[in-house]
Amino acid sequence: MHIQDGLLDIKTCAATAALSIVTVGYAVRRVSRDNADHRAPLMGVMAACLFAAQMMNFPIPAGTSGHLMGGVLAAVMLGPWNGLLVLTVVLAVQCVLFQDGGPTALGANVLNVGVIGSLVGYAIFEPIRRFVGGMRGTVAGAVVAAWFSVVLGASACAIELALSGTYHLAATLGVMLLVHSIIGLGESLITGMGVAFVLRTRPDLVYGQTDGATILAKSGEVLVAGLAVALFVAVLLSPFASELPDGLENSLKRLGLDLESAEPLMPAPMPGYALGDWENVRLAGSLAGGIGTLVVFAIAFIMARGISSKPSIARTPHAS
Amino acid sequence: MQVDFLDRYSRGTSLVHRLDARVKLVVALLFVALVIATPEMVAILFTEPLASWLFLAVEAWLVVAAYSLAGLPWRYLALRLLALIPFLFLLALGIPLTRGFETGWNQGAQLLARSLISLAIMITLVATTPFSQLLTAFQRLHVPQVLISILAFMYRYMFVLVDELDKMRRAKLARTFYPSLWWEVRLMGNFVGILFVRAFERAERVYAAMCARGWRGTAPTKDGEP
Repeated sequence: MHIQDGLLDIKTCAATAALSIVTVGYAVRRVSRDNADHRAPLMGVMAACLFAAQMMNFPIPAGTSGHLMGGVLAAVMLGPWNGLLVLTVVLAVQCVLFQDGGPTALGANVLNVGVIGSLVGYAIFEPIRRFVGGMRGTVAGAVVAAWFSVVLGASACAIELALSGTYHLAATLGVMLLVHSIIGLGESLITGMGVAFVLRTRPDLVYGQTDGATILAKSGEVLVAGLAVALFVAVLLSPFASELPDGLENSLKRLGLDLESAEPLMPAPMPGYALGDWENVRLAGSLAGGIGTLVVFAIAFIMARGISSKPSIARTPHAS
Repeated sequence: MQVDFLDRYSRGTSLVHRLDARVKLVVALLFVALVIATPEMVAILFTEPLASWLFLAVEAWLVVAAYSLAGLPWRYLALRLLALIPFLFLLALGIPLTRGFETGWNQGAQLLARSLISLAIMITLVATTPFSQLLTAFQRLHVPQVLISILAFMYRYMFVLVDELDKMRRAKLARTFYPSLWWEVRLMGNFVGILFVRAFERAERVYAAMCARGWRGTAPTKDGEP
């Protein structure tokens, strides 16, 4: 999902860079305020850790592979603002040293992976964690937030590409939604298991877990929470499947960004395809909704298997 | 980790190597911005459709000139560009497929050209500037101190942790013969967890060792060996 140079035009680059600079600048101020000199080595090593984790490719059933984005992982382990800084540094290093993502698109990449992954991801994670409570809440929140961070990041990417006039919004958004709702599944499973592993072995390392880390919710509460999460997914995605594309288009038009008129009309090779583009987005949206519901089942599965009712050190090897 | 290619040529003595890192960084970033803005700028000045190709050719020539001035092997540039070409080619191919073939081909080809030129600029920058000098340049350009410290520590431990991950992978390959998808995913989740715990414990040790040696919160960015 790292955007390369040349895919975005200058105005999109400038807009996304400005947004990212403001957000990262605020994060820098916040993190510097509470003793940063202790945090610096820790966050540097964490950045290296995320960099390594991003090199792991996981197989996707469709025959391709995706790699971990790690936005939610960083936010859950380190807190949203620290997570954003760590991700920004990882993206900057990938951009400068490895030419993975271009310098003019760095703002957009920080927005898609860092801001959406860490800040938006944390905003989704925290209510679920509080509602479910305990370690199960942390894992459940991380799983759901990880899936959303990938899908939302991909949607943001599609919108940025369309604003630059590189691709047609409808076609890109549909493909991105569909592909990334599957990639997001890998992300959420691996994030959930990673978080569960750390909770089992060193629960004190997880951000905001130091107090009452072993309070576990009762199974009845878990069931209620699962239903609530399913409802949450349904509510969030059902407008997407029916109205949001039009709403999005209209609001962009109101902003003076008429996407469709900027596009040359598709010539005849695929008749009906251009007309049906928004239909495709709706289809992709509802498919993504279906996959989102699947994520909820995945949570139930992980909660049942990964986290037993008591954290047992004997059952899992201590990492050292 | 096979990343000794990063700083392999960066300690040369050519004119490009000796240039101040700040100058190189700023020039490279402005140059990339110029390459990206080429179609818009050309559209303002000229109406000729081939004019932007002329500009792109001049820009490409400038990069090649800078690279040859640095006296680096061409094989290196070619290999690093080749690694990224398949992905870029697919993206470029997407334009004629989604936007029609008449204007799409030209746009796709220009996108490929712009991407390749900006990649070559960044490769030239990194291949002629050691990372420690880049860090100093960032520091003098007033990038926040927190980010610089994180960058410095990340660069130091990146290789260590990637090696650690490699070790885990090798151990996994030696033990699992017919992994199922679910098994694979579970292992990966555990890898991420183990990596995190080990990295955290390493960070605590490093911090304690640094405090013992009188570290007071400034980034260790000295010009010279990292």
